Amino acid sequence: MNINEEKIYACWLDAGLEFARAKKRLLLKAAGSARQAYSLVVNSASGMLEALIGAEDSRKLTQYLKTITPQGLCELLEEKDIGYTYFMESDYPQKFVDIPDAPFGIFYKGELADENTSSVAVIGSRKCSEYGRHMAKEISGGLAARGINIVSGMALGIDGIAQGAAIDAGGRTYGVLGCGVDYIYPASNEELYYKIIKNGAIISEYAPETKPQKWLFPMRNRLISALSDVVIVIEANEKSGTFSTVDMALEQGREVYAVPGRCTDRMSTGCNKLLRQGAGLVTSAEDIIYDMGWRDKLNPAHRQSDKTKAYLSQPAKDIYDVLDIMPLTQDDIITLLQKKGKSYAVDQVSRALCELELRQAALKINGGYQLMKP
Amino acid sequence: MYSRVTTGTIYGIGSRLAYVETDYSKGMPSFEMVGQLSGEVKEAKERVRVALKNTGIEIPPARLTVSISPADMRKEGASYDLPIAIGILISLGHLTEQHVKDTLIIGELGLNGEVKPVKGVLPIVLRAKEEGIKCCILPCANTREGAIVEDIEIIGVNDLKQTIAYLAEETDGRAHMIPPASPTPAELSTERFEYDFSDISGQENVKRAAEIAAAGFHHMLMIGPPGSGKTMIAKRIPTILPDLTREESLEVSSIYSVAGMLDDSRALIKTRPFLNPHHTISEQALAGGGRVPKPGLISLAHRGVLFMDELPEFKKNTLEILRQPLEDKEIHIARTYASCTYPADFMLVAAMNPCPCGYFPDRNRCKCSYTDVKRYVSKISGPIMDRIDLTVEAPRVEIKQLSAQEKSESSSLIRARVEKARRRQLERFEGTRYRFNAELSSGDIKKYCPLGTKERALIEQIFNVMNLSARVYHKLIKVSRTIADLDGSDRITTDHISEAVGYRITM
Repeated sequence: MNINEEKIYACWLDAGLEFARAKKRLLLKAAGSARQAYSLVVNSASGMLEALIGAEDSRKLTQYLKTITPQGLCELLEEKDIGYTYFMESDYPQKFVDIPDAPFGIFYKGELADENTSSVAVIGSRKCSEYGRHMAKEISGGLAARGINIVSGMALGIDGIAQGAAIDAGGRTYGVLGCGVDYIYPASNEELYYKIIKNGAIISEYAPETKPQKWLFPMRNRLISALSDVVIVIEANEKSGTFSTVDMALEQGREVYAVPGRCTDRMSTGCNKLLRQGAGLVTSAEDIIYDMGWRDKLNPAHRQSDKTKAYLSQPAKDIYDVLDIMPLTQDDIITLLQKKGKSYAVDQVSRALCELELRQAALKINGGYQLMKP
Repeated sequence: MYSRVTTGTIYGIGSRLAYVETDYSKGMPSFEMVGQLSGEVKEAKERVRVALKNTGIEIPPARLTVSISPADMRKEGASYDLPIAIGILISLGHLTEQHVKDTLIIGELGLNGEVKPVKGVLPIVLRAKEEGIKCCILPCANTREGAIVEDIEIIGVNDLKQTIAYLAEETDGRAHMIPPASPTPAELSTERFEYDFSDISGQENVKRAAEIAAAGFHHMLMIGPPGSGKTMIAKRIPTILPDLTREESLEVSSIYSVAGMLDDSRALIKTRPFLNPHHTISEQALAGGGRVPKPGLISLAHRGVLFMDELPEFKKNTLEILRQPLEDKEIHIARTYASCTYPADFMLVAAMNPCPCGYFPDRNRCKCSYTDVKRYVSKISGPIMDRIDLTVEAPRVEIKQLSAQEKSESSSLIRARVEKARRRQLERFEGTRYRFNAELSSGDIKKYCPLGTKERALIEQIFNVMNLSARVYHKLIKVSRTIADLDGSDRITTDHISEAVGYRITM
């Protein structure tokens, strides 16, 4: 545990005043230090506290003192293995310093990011298509493999997939939650939650035991973009909550990129709209690395399709040409082949698909075959 | 005076001989019946008395006792009316025991003396033949059903008067009076299928999967959006299954006889049954039930196809019932008055949508979240999924395809290939309990499906790359074996394996 004495009081003030960010800073500045601010609370009878933060909040703080003392809170954090830092400390992320409405402090489980490492936020909607899933894995995994940190919200869909892929690629990833860091939300991401703690950190501006609430999530979105140099939207429709993160990113001066989708795909309308509005277009991890000038981290990359095709049998080659990133059933594939004037028997197609799968050029998933190495 | 008449009673789908014993003695006039009789058997008393009166025979006032043995078995149904009437007539001296020697009598009586049809005639006649009975007296309407059994005399009677006259006749004169029913002509029962595979254009992969499933009697699951022709394909699977053998046909007919579903126009079932229960079906209707059990749908689908459309919509308990029959090919039912075992060796053909709305993974149309999809698919428990060897995805059918004029392969062409594969299996499994590849136990797979070095290497590669679980292994080998049989090959080759691997489930 890295908590010094000042931190204990700052942490206590932070948790006690909950969402009143401006007043926390006001109180701390007026008092001079966290410890002095705390003594104001203890001696609330003097009226100083009330004059600074108003009657309601000072009542709240005195009330909070009855529930838990700074030492009690410190023990609780230690027991739950939760770290804390606030804006006057040196380990407070520098990326927060220059953003409007920066958090007073943050709670975290795991280890905070090295300030010198570039980081990228990979975000998107909770409901995603197989295409979105694939792109999230490719881009997030590709960046993480080159030592770039991946930041996201550990939500269902794109967020979780991107973070999982980053860990699988051996990289580090940071999940910013809209609830206390001791809350696993969504519960189905439990496995991922523990993996992130081991390979990065779970971060939240809210005190432990804060339950997930709808209105907290847009606020945590500003931390996701703040922690990153670049924000990539993988897949989102026009109404997606992802856009609150994009708005924050623009406000904070972060680069925004989007993965293009087909015009007819409902799940890609948001991304395509972003592109029209001038967001950067990203098709692979390499694109980001080139654009951001992180070339020293770049491995020579080739398009894989020609290399893949060289080893395939003729039917497999023909099928490879009709496969798509959207899953197709085997009968769809036969129909597409027929349209191209190529007629294969069913068992031939089955065998060729098995060959493609073994070459990892295709994948049978969700009841259909899709292209793996475009 | 005492008399004894032989009749039969259904027990499970088999039957046992039963005996109606009658005693007529002096004393306080009464008519007692014993032998664990249900309501309708006890009511026989009134039917028999009036039917005898209307035939012109008065029962003199005296003490009549009727016992139906074996006394420890529950008796149901109205089939004891006629043997009771004949028993009384012998006791009264109108007929002698000699007249009913080696004869089994069965039938329900109307008040006017008419003999009405009863259930379960086929298994009873089969049993009678085994027990050495030479002649069966049946209701006229059941003669076709009885005459399926060869080498036993089947006499159909219309009413009580005729029955008495027939029995009283000398042996020589009998044939002149009511000639024994001639064996039921086979062609009479050859039902025609209304459907044919040539009605389906496109869907080549689903059809191929159906062919493989039919050849090896594999359980099969079709996944596809609404309107992708899953039901159409399922309905046509019986048309490509190998014909029932005579033995199988008798077995199936016996079940239908017990269920009271045979009649003159359909005395012997020669085509494989196709049953299509709605997903609201109760557990009892599917498994069989009643205080004295009656066969359920899974037994009526014996040797045929049980098609379960919208599989996840079935109640969980209903689906779980299938576990035992899918494994043991029979179902044990214990109810208040009896417990019995019905055969249930059916081919399960199931169909389902990929998600609640039906369009997953087409994200332009599907509005379900991943959790919704997962929850929907997980409604089918692992043990049921484990027993389904083949899974195939049915694509959405384009309008253009529907209007395409070219006819595709007919059922008879496909069936010819299936029959060939079946013969290969019969040869391979000669002298064992197996008939189809799907039945192979995991222990015997090694024995009947040996693999070469190349094949083993391919399987290892497949399992590594595709991340498959061990329980897929046996399914993969069994399906490969069937594909090899369709191909006319003695050995399983890499081609067969790589085709089979496409039929695994990936939801």
